[in-house]
Amino acid sequence: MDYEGQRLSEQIMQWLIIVAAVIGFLAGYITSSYRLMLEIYTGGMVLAFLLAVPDWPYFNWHKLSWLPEQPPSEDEAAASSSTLAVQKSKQGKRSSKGKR
Amino acid sequence: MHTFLYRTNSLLTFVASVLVVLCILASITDYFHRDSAVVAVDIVQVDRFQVSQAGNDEAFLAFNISADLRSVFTWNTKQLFVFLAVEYATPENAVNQVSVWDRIIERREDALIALPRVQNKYRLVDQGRNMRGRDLNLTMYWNAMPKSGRIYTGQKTLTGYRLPDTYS
Amino acid sequence: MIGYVKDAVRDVHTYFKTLNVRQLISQAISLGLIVSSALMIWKGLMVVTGSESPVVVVLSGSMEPGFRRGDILFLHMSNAPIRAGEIVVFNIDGRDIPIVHRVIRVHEKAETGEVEVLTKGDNNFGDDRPLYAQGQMWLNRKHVMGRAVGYLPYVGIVTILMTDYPYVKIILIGALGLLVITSKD
Repeated sequence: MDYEGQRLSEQIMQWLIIVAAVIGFLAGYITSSYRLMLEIYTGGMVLAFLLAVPDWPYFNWHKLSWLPEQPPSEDEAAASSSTLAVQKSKQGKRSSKGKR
Repeated sequence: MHTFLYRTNSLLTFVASVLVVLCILASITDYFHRDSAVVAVDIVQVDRFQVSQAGNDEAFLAFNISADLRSVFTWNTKQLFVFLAVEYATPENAVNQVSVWDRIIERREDALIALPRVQNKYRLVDQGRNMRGRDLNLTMYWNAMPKSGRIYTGQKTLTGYRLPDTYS
Repeated sequence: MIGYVKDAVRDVHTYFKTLNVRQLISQAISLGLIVSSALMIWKGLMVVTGSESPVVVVLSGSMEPGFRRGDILFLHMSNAPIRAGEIVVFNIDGRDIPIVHRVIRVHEKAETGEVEVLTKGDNNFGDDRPLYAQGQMWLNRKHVMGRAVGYLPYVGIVTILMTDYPYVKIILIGALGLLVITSKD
């Protein structure tokens, strides 16, 4: 899912459930059936799960545009030969960023 | 990280939170409910009035209980616990309440009670021997146990009853 | 699924490999914050409701069909006199499990205002005298921890599960521990 898709997913989920809650409450109150309220609400929950949780195509319409891949310059090719030390220090940097 | 598990977790917690709100709202609607309960109770006969083995006054009464509690039911009512209490005051005890009969009503249709002659289910025993000639109140209580939310009670008191002055 | 398990195992492994004092202290403080917030909320509830135990889980079926095992009750204790029909939670001297039953008899002394009360579970055939302490015929106000004023079904199932199946408790705490360790913050 891209970022727009994530936001859309959350919105669909929250709105569906709130709407199901409101409709369920009103329907249950009017028909004097607590059970009906719960049934409508559960239906809303299942619908929200089906529409918002799996990674559907409509969550991927705003793909992130990565920069085009650049061929490594001569400096980078020389540096990449000492791989192990460089990778380890990069991993250290990344995990400390992630902790924030 | 927006993984499948993360979204499922987020959905479930949201569902649970809103559900709790729904349960509370349902209970709030009970507050606005007005009932038209009809209650009539009478003491048909004093079967026996004596001193029990433990040395306390005990009365065996037969009641005529008739009540229509159907209007007490709301969409949020799980059951009504209905009981009849004999209430009186003695010099020693300012308040005496003894439940002599009860019934659990789970459906609205069953809330129509018509018992022309029923004996007290539970023993009507005093603390001491102070019941002779005592004035009694008969109070019908209905305790509404909800499907969710606030538990509340209604009651109807009928006065003017009196136990015999002598044992029988 | 296997991927998640592999990731989790790797995360636990990294956790123990890169253990350092600062990280441990930081995690201990976070844990302490969570525990103390929960404790503050609980104590606050105790003050507001006037009851030692503001929320209880129904543990037995003696109040069925109204209250089932796993339901939760919200309690409140006021200075109002205890009257017939109220659902009270009480402790018996010598037992530590609170009992939730209904008051069926009340005798309030004229002089002292002290009250003697008899309780019974709705679903029980007889009153609670067999449950009281040896020789005790009545409950007094001091035994009563609160009146049940509110109710929610099923919320306490976890407590019932943990009581009936002790290994569920171990699994739950183990899973919680794993979650804490493997979460990146």
